[in-house]
Amino acid sequence: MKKFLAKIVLFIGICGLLTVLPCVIIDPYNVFHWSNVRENGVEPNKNYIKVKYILANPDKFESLLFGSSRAGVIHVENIEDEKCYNMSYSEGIPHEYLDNLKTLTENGVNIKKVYISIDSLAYTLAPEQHYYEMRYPYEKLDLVTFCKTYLRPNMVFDSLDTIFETRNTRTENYSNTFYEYGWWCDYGVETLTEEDVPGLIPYIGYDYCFEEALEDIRQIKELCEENGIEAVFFTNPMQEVTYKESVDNDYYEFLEAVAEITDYWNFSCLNDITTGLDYYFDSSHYIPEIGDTIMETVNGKTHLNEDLVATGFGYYTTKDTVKNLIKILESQYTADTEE
Amino acid sequence: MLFNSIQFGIFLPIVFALYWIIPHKYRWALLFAASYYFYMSWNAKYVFLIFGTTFVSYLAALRLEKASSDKEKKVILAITAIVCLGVLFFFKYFNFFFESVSQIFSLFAIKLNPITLNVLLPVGISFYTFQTLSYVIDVYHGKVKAEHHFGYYAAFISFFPQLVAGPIERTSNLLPQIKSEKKFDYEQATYGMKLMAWGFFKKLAIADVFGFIVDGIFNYHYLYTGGVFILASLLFGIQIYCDFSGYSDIAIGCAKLMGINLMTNFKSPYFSTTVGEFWRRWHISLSTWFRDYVYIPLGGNRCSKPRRYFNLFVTFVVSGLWHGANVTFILWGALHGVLQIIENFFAKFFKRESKGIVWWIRVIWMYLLVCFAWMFFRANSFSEIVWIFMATPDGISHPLTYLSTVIQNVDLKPIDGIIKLITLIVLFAYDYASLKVDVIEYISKKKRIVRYLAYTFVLALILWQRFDGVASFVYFQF
Repeated sequence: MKKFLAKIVLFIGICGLLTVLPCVIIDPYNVFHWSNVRENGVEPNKNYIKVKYILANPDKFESLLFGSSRAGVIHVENIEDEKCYNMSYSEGIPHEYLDNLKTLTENGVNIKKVYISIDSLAYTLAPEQHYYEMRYPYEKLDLVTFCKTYLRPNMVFDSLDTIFETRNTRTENYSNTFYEYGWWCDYGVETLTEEDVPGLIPYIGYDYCFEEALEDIRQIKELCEENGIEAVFFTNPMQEVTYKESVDNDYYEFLEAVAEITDYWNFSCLNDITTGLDYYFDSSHYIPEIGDTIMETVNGKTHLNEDLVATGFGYYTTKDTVKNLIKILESQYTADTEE
Repeated sequence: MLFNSIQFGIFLPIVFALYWIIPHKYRWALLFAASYYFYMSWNAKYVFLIFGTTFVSYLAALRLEKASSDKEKKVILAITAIVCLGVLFFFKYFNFFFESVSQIFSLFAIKLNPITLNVLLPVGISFYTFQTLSYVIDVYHGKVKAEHHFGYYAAFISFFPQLVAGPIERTSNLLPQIKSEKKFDYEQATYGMKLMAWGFFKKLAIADVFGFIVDGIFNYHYLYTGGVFILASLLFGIQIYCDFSGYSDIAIGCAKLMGINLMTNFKSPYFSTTVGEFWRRWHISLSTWFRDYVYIPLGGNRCSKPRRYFNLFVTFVVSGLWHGANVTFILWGALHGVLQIIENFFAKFFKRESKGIVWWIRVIWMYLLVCFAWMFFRANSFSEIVWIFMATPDGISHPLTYLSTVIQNVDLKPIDGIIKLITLIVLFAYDYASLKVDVIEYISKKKRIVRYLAYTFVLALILWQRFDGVASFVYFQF
């Protein structure tokens, strides 16, 4: 019987190795390689990796930019006199930025400033959506959840095809860019063409967490005030089809409600930029050059043309000026609809 | 409680440990309690059915032994059969029977409102009903003595490894083993572990994985046309074999941990060259049950040819019906019956080949024939079969496009496809080798490095191919 039980232990050990080893070695989501992220064609769990990275380097950056992948094109290294890190990740939402900020401040990370980018995704994506996928945010990954999510060999082997298919599309300096800046899209990306227009699909979520999103934004503002962190909020300049879909889903109400909580820079509107094909590479993401414009504007490094601001692009919104902004946006939308 | 569940992973070690700790005289009680707990994990209220069936058959056997005349014995047997089969009929066939009667009457423009019962099919009812019936019939024929100890008998009927999906055990094999005192046998236990691992390989690495593809095609058949149904049928053949034989292997391996040897239920059935041979290798416990308790009592082959063919046909139709209350199962059974009749009729052309290219051709042909029949088994309704048969030839006049559409529909990625191919090669290599040797014994005699490489390879295929989720076993629905 002892010999048999020893065999059982050996069997369990072999099963354990066979489970753990491929998950750790292949690690498609880079959670085991958070300090040495590799580009393998699978989107890494950026929220988890970036939070861990900042926790490990608490004094490296003065400011952080939070946002979804839309803000992920912003080249934060271009912000003058500021060492900033782009914390953005796919489908980022304020609920998760709040959790991340709590984690970072509670662990002594030295942040002076945060940029928070928001748009309709903030209230149309429920946090629970991310629990069904492999991209649990940092705070949701307790040990049990971590093991259940990432110690699954079949998941790892499912990703091998993606890793294999994308082996020739690796970018140079992926790791360096990831850790130094955090953005994911470089300059020179191919923008939209006329042929793409008919196939453009609006990109907003399917949930509705309006009040919850506002509460998260309020708490972010309060947390920053309590910790002496300057919070700069701005809205993303959504591509035309996504913007219109957002408007049909209470986006103006959202902009009004946010203004009651905090001032912000608005870049959501219908103008030559947001309707122009040269400034977007899909219906969700603007080009890095627009990101530069946004950062220069919010940091006061540039003053946009008045005509541009008159369209709502770069419009500094407060609770006193939000109604005027909404008037501008509504008239644009009406004029566009009548066309 | 599925074999491939965490609950079973906790349940089995506890039962195993207690079984070898407690004295032999109490082991029947442990098996009885564990088996009933195992059964109740499916649906607690149905435990009264299995208990009732057990109790009725227990009393019937005791009464049979004391019966003073053949007439009395026949009456007791008949009553037992009516009770046991009546319960089976009520839960499994009631709705089908009345729907069928209603449909027949509607052909004569008589409208009947069929009575429909909203009852769940108790898991394993077909299996334990047959096991109790075989016991009573064997006592009736004097082949075995009635068991006086209710505990032993109840443990025999409810023995958890084979309770819900067989093998359907014979009294002469299992009951004495339940009663006899055993000492822990290292070789037997390790063989059992290896057999369980092989069963899990078939279930998790093959059946569940291929089942995902098959279900996607059969359950949404209206979205497909062309050769994809042929592929689905071929894959279903693999799925059902691996699912069912995997379960049997796990059950047999599990029993070996307790020093009990259950009967072999599958013997490389897809290496058969005739339908008859297929049924001597597939679900052996059921096919021998039907042979001994239906075919032979009808007269078997000790009668005229027409009568023999009739017996064969009826046996297979009943076998089809046993699998499910649906006309598709009856058609499947009838098809096998007809194929066997044709084989019998042209027997001189079906000489036994054991090797060579002809043997391989016949093996492949038999696999294709069996998979053709599986289409009836898998289809959810008769209209679905009609749809599939009408849609399958679509595009066949352009063979290359026909084939490429099949591949597109399955949407298999390269590495995924390679892993699936490797699992199939391992499966068929094992089954082919099993025609000549006991593969587990054979590997056990090899050098340690070879053995451990083989075990690690199989474990890797299980863990790395494992279907995400816990899929039930196909034969649980019977």
